[in-house]
Amino acid sequence: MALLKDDELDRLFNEKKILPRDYYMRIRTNAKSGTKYEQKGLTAEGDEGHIFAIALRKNRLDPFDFSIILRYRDDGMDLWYNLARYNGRSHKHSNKLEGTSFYDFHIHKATQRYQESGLKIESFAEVTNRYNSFAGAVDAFIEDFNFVVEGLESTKLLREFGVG
Amino acid sequence: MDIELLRSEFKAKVCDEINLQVEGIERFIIHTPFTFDDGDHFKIVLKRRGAGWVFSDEGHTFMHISYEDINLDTTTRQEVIEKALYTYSVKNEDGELISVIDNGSYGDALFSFIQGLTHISDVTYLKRERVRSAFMGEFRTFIEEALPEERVVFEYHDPNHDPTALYPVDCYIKTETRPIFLFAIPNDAKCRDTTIEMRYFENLNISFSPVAIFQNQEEINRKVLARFSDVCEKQFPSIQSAKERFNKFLIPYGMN
Repeated sequence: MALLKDDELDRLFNEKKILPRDYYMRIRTNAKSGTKYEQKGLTAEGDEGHIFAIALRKNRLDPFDFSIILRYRDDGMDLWYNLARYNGRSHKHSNKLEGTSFYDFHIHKATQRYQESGLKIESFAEVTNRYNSFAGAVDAFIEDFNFVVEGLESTKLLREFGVG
Repeated sequence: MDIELLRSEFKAKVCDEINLQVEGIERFIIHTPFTFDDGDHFKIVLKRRGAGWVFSDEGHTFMHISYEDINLDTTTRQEVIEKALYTYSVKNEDGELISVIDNGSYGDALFSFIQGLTHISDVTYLKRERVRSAFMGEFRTFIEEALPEERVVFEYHDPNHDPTALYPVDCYIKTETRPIFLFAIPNDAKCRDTTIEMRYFENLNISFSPVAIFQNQEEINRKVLARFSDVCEKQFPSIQSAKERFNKFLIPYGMN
């Protein structure tokens, strides 16, 4: 895999990402048969031409067990990478390089140092107080990664459209 | 060395790594040091079921695996999962992994459960994309070992005809005759894109020799490969094949 450096990652995080006008219809989670979770995915193009996707996961048995994932497509290799994950408070997390552990709502983010150490790109995570529910995590995610709906000023709207 | 002291310290420190936290009525989160490969710990819950107790992941393991967008319905992955379930006495109840605790054997049940979760989560290492990523690295290493540095330009683009690099070439090789435009082909998408690029260069009447090294030529869609073969005569079906025959191929180009 091509190494994504921290400055490149920051540019990808901050790149304006355009959601289609009917995103609210396309982002409601559906139950996946044979599992205990619901899921949904949606692609969004960045204004620098990069392709991103939002992947939603929500556990039906535990409202604190969820994940909202920012995916990025490396066109050259036709591979998808998880650049960030907004997780709930259903499990502990340990940062291998820093030696820290916690059991709380947390955000995974891709880093250069973890890639260089041969670890998974999004292995580093930090505790967050930006949300304490799936819906709150979706709001924070949309705001933090600069998602906008084509033609609208603000996209802090997903909960209004029944997401979460 | 005091063996008994070592034993007691060892047991105390290992036991310290496992903890039980109340979270609900007759429901406990079990904290262990065992993790997925991204640092998230396995989700293990001890909860009452009927007259007894079970360990459960409450569906988290399969949800976590899905973060990699993996299809668990392939034969190979299903076999890995079924084998792990059977070997470690774990049940799959509609996506929830369960281990029943018999006769208060919490320790045995917990460690079997953890081994089951570990083996099941290892299906992510069968993901084809991991193999594809390794292929591009192998391709580059192969070229760097086969050719002198001054003859090779990776990620080349024609500065005159393609200043914005819309048609990049994986590897441009300077020879004594005409240059070689070498492409690494891991999949159908890249094969299609490369066909377009080669046609572009043909239309510009640029003198070059198109060459391709596939990750596995047999996996390319037949129609895609047929269209590609119209524009690229020289193809190595795999890196192994290239290692065996590339040097001989270069002789007419005044190299080797």
